[in-house]
Amino acid sequence: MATEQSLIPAKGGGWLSGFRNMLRKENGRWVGTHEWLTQSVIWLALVNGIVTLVLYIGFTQSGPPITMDALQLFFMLLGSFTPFGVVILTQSDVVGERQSGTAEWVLSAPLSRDAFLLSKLVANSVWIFATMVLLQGVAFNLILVAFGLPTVPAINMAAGLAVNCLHLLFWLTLTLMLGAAFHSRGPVLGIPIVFLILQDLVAGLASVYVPWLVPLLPKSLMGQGLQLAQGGGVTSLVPFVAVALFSVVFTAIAVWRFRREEF
Amino acid sequence: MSESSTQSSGNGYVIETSGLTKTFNGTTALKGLSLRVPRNSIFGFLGPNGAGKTTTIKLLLGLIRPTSGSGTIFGHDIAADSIEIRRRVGYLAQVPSYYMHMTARETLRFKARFYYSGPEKALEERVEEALAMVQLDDKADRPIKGFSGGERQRLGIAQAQIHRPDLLILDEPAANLDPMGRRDVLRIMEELRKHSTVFYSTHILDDVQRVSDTVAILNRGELLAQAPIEELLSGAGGIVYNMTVKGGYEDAYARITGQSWVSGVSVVQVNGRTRLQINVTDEQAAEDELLRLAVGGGSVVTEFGRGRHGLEEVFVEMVEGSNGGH
Repeated sequence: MATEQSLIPAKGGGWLSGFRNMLRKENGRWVGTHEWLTQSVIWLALVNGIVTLVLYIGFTQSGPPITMDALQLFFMLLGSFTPFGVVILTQSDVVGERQSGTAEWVLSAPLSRDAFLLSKLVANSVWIFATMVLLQGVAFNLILVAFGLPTVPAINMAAGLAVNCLHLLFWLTLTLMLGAAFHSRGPVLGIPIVFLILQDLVAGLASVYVPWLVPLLPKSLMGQGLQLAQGGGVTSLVPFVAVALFSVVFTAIAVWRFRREEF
Repeated sequence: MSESSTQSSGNGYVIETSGLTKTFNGTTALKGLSLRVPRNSIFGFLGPNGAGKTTTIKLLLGLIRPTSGSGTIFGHDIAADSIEIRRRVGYLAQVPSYYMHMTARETLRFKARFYYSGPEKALEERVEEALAMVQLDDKADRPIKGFSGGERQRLGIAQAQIHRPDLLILDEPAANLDPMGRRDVLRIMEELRKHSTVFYSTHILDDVQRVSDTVAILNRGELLAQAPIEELLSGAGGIVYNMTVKGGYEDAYARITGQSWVSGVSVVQVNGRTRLQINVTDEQAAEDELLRLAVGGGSVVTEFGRGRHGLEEVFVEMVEGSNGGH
């Protein structure tokens, strides 16, 4: 048949075999199921909706608020809420595919296990950063314009948002690792959520008993992000290095564990 | 893929395993399986539920790792070269799973892109061909979540052969299907044989007898038999002849059972006639003597010929034998 002559066999094997096709599928899921729209609306309402409400109340009751107060509120909401969203959104990515049998199906094709995991990490990172962080930053500045307030310089805002992306990467890779390690959704969802809820308590106790631990907690990045958005500098590189290292280690463990998985 | 590759490791066998063993938490699911699947065969892999059929298939596909033993497909090691093997193998799981937000066309397009990088037009043509082959072209753009079990099974076959694999591995392809669905699946399997070797597991013996040419029987993780189906059917229980006699059969029965090369005779009455099933140890003596011995004493032979055991009979006998008669 004509197609037999003209079809070009896919090249490339090894540890990333099938990555491009799987990444296309993951992106297609975000677009095809309108997940990008759902997430955009949810986080516009939860983050910028609250910012707008507070600005409006402040405007009507005590005169024009200042941009820096709004910025502080914005980063506080962004840093506190979005990690929950990341965990809830991605907790079934690996476990769900294993339970439904789709992981077994795609892994019967020439798709490497590393490519299966990494395609999820890359696609989710891009869409989460776009809908939960970048869009929110743009919307925040538009809100400031609407209230007649000075906007945050783009470079400062970009730096602050980039730190938030790194913060979310921690939770994304942690959830991915747990998804590769456990066969049910309970621990994959429960462990990060409990960690998120108890993080303030852990930070409080650590500051008394093990002070060196405090800058290693992902929460420490939130303050750094705000400082950068406000035009300030970075006070310590430790939180950046720690969160980046944790993310790499979580990903490496996920890959190691998933290679040993039996379907 | 069949366009450009050889079909076997060079000795005529597509799949070869040696002492393949798999243990799950101390329970041995597969015990030292040594299997050889000839090129271009439809190889029926038989066994009751829990015999180890799916475990074997998952080992072949690299979805699980062997506890001991080894195996090759097209000469590639199943543990070390799994991706290379999977480029040339199509697989249908016992319960096919798909991404429910996709349509049948999107599913086939997605699967095809693991094997081909383009061009898009040729890729779409291949998808169309696959949809037509399983008669899903009219439902190609509907979400899979609305598909019936039979439609999902047919889509499963379409996705398994989208890249014209050298080897198709089908796990219970006709299970849970109505008779029409089963017939369709068997028809498709026979069509696929033109390009591929088909290795399929089943416990539906009628299907095996209809389409397979080679059979292996597995029970409790152990291989009981492996042979071309004709050999298995004729070889089981020795050589058998069937004879239908009209009128009195007692004299003929006495003369036949008196022969040293006759190992047993069973008698069944059917519509006023007597059917004798005669097990013999000497084929030549049976061919020369049986008819002569039967004639006379008021009996007339109306039918005579070499018989064969049914696969079900062979299967039950072997499985029960390996279970210790239970």
